[in-house]
Amino acid sequence: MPLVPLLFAAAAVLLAWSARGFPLDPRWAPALLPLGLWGAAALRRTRLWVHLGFLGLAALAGLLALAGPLEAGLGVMGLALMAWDSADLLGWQGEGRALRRAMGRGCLRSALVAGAGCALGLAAARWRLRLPFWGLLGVVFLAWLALWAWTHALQERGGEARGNRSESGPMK
Amino acid sequence: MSHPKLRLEFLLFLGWVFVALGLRQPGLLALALPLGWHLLLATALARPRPDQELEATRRVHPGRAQEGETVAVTVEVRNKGPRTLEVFLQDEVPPGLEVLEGRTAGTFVVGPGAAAVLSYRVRAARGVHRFARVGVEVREPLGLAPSRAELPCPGQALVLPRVERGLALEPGARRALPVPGTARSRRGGLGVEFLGVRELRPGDLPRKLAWKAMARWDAPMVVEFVEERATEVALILDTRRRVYRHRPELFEHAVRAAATLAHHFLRQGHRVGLLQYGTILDWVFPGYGRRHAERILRELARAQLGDSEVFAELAHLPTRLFPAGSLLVVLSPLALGDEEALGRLAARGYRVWAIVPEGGAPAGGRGREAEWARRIVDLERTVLLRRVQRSRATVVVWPVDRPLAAVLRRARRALCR
Repeated sequence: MPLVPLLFAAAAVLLAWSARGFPLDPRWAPALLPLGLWGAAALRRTRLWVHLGFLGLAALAGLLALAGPLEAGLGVMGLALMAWDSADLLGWQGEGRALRRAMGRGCLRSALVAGAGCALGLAAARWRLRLPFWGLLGVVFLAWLALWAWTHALQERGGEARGNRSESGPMK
Repeated sequence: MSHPKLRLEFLLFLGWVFVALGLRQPGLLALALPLGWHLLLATALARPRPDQELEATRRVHPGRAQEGETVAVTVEVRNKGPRTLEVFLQDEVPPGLEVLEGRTAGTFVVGPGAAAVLSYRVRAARGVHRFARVGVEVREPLGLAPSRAELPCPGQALVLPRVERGLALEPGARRALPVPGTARSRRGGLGVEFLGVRELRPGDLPRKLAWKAMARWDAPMVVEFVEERATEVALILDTRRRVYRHRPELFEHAVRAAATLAHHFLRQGHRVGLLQYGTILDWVFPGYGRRHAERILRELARAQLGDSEVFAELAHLPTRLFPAGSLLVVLSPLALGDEEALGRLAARGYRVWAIVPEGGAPAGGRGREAEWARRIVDLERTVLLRRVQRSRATVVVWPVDRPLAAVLRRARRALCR
């Protein structure tokens, strides 16, 4: 099970390489870096390496979208999201069969969400919309504002008092 | 946005969009959409406060047990919210409890109004075991950002030290209380042990007439018995860590001996107090009866070893706590230097018993040097015990693999003299 995110990462790197026709150019060597980061994450099992691995794959997807077919970039991003989610699923605790079932369900849901996101990206890329630059910037700003307000509305309120409490009993 | 993953994803999404706009690359902007979609669903479906939808209760049965008994713990987490939740529960088992059966963690799907139950049995060591909370992980339907919380569900298992039954021992009293008991008070009165004969006085019962003595002395004589009264007993439990340095397991035996003696003396009607001497001075004022026995047992359940510069020597025992002439029972393996303190107590008129638990595995190490070290330690110990005996304190060495009652029965003559 700990190798699942690594397999997704390897699939993403392979997809990126295949999208460019398996070039043997040494400039493609840094594309292996995300794979190394995910390998470190599998060995060390720390959240930092997982996040770095995801950022590496996201950067690879971005480069691919700039240099090559957008579809491949979207595929790499989808696989990166799946690897990230599966690494999170590995952190779940539970007992034997119930845990495996829950993780299987989580993986399936993650794949569906990532697939839907990629389809959305693909559809958006095909959709032609004429919008001036500042209009686009305004739309993005409004979207960001709405997202910020929404996440703040969801954020937890209140809190619990913490700190030392006096205890009954003899003083030490 | 409390989950670090969501926070990172949110920042990445924003950065991505701004870079795409800055570079005027619609391809990059399209690539931000899967990220935004993922973030949107994860945020929408995340449960920011699982503790608001869940309520935990705990049952500990029995709440008061004796050492070695099993205690059943049940944790119930009820879903008060309108949605079905997939939760993982992990109970925090306090140290000192050994789980015998059942499970302390589990994954459950809990519908609205339904409850997830964790149930297990533990064997508890002596002490007060406090349960504080149960860890909960609520997984939202996409499994992207689980929310964790700790639900408070307090509970307590009070495990009292084991009390040995069948002790046959009467404390010899130098000071008797005006209450009936089992301590012989060296004066005539109600009792069963013969004291002597004396002349009849007004008020003496005719059934006490000593007919043979009357025939001999040609005067009315009566038989007198030793009056049995209650006395004052102070149990002094040594909690200095340095005394138990080589064999810390002896402390548990000392606590059990204190519980056994307290239980026994209180049943006999004596007034018993308890002093824990070590880290702090923990003094249970002397008293009678079952409630007092329970109070002492609860204090003994909490007893722990500790260090203190002030109470490093037994010489600082606060003698003003003990009435003159009372019986002091010191439960300790003793250390060099303690013999002087015990001698001083005996010289002040207290009756002093030192119950010294001994045994367990010998100190580690092999070879000739270790063997010599062991012999030196044994010699030191012998010298110490002889010095204590010479100081008019009564020493009972208790090999802990034998019952205390049997050891005290053998030492009865020395103890009751």
